[in-house]
Amino acid sequence: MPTNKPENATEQEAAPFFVGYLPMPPQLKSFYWRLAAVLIVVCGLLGYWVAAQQKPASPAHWNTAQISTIQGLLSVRPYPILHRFNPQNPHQVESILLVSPGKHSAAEWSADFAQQMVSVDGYEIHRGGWTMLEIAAQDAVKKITEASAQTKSQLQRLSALPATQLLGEISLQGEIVDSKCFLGVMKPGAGKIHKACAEVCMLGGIPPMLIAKDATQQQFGYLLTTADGGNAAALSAKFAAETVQISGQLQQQGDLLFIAMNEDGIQRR
Amino acid sequence: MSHGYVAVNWNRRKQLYDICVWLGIVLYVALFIGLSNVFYAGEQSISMPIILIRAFSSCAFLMLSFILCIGPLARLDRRFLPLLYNRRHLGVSLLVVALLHAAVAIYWYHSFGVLNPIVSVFTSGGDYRSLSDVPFQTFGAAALLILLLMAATSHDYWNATLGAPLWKAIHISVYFAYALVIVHILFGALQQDNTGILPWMAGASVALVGGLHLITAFAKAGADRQIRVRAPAHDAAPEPCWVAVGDWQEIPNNRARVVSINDAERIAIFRYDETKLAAVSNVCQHQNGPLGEGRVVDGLITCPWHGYQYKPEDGCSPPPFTEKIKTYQLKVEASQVLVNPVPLPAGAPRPIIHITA
Ligand code: FES
Repeated sequence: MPTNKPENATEQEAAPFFVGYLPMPPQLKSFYWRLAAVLIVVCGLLGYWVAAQQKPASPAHWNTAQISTIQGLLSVRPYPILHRFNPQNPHQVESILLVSPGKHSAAEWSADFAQQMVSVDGYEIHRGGWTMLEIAAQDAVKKITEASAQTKSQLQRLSALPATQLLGEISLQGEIVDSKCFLGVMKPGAGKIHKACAEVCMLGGIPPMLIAKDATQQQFGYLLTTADGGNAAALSAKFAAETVQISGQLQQQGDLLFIAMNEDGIQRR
Repeated sequence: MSHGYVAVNWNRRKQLYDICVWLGIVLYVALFIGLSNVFYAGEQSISMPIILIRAFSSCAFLMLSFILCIGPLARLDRRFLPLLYNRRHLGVSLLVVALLHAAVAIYWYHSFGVLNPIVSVFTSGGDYRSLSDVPFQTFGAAALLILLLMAATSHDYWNATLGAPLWKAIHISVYFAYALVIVHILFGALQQDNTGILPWMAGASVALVGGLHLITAFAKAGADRQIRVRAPAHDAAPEPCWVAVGDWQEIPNNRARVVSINDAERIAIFRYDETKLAAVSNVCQHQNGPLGEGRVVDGLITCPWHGYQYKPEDGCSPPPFTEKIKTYQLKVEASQVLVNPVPLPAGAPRPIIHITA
């Protein structure tokens, strides 16, 4: 009988060999209990660490907990907007963008109420100085029929406000977003990941906005319209989330800034 | 083995494995969601569906990276073989997490609009010709499809029905899925913001997965060189051409030496019962696992990957199983093992070498 086995034979023989359907060799068993414990702790640590490395969203709020009722004068072109006097400062006109639930514009639900005093129930969306109202349901836009003296005088004063002011030619670089997500429904609601959503929103008629920064990095939002002041949502959809150069006529209506874009007024950068 | 299939052959160890896997997943996702709500509260909070999308995507990515490390780890250190044994459970769990990621993303970003959500995934956004605008969703969807195909064919039934080579080809496409996921991240989250930890996570994963595979390739290439034998070409001559492959006493008992002769299919020469020698193909019929890295257990050659067994005498699995591997003729001269590199048909018996004195 040969006796000269290789030197490492015993060691190799001793190395545990695992077969799935046989009992686990004891050395492997303790190895696996320790490995499982380590891996589960690592999962927990990673969950903590990756979560902690996210960036906070920009301050914004979509109040889905409470329905607000807002009264004002409704204009529908280019986008449904409710104009009222700021409750805190009755000399200041406030413009509130109206949208429907989901990724749909409020055009349909407000079409019958152009230039009328209405009361709208909905969920408020706020970001910076912007206010938007997501109409709660189809019947949540109501014409104010029994107008009090106060309502009548408000209507008169709002109707008497100067229409659009033209502020001159402008050319700005920035990102096109859909105003609903950007103003607080999605946080974050801009950028490449959000691009498809912004497209769907704009195809649904949600007002497009150009977000541009000035030299001090402060953000400004401009609602975009066609050259003749119409709805530019579908036109802007395919440029969502890209850096673009917008050129057109800068206009002011109440406290909102618009750019009525020239033909070919959107250029990719 | 191929004898009567059930959905999953549960045993206590597989259950423990799955419990650990899901404990890890639930812990990761729960901590991610809970802490995201604590760390980012109030005005600067992150939308809940976005937190979910991030929790599931990062979890799936970490799992995929881990799964791809198991193969090389098990080749470098045999203690990791049990992880390989149940890797398909991990793969199916990964698919579940990846599907959750996709479902929430489709719900949140693509639903509630004028487009069908699935249509929106594939049509909205982007232009493949502009680097800054390449749609990232398509790559994620393609990766998901591969994972789905793999999970659907993960059962041994499909392994046996499709045959090991085709089955392997399907399952090796996990590397393609990984590449697609990397592109999905590059054109998606990384283009959104490349300043966070995501570049580090993706970079570390690629370095780890790639590094481990390279190390294993080099280590195994070194091992291969030691056993590679060049022999003069022999055309199907009537006389067998015997190739010397070393001293039989250098083979530990119940183990094998693997030789590759003229780069043909590798041969595993097993020593068992101290003094018996038998040569078989190194390729397991189940998933082409390396039989020569296995052992002889209870007198049967046992594959290290999932424990398929073959009789040394004829390369047949013991009844009721039906797998067969090729066998080879051996002889011993002055303690040198000589092998005839021309294989016998799978399952063919030939005399076992029994060294007496
Ligand atoms: S490859 Fe699965 S048992 Fe051999």
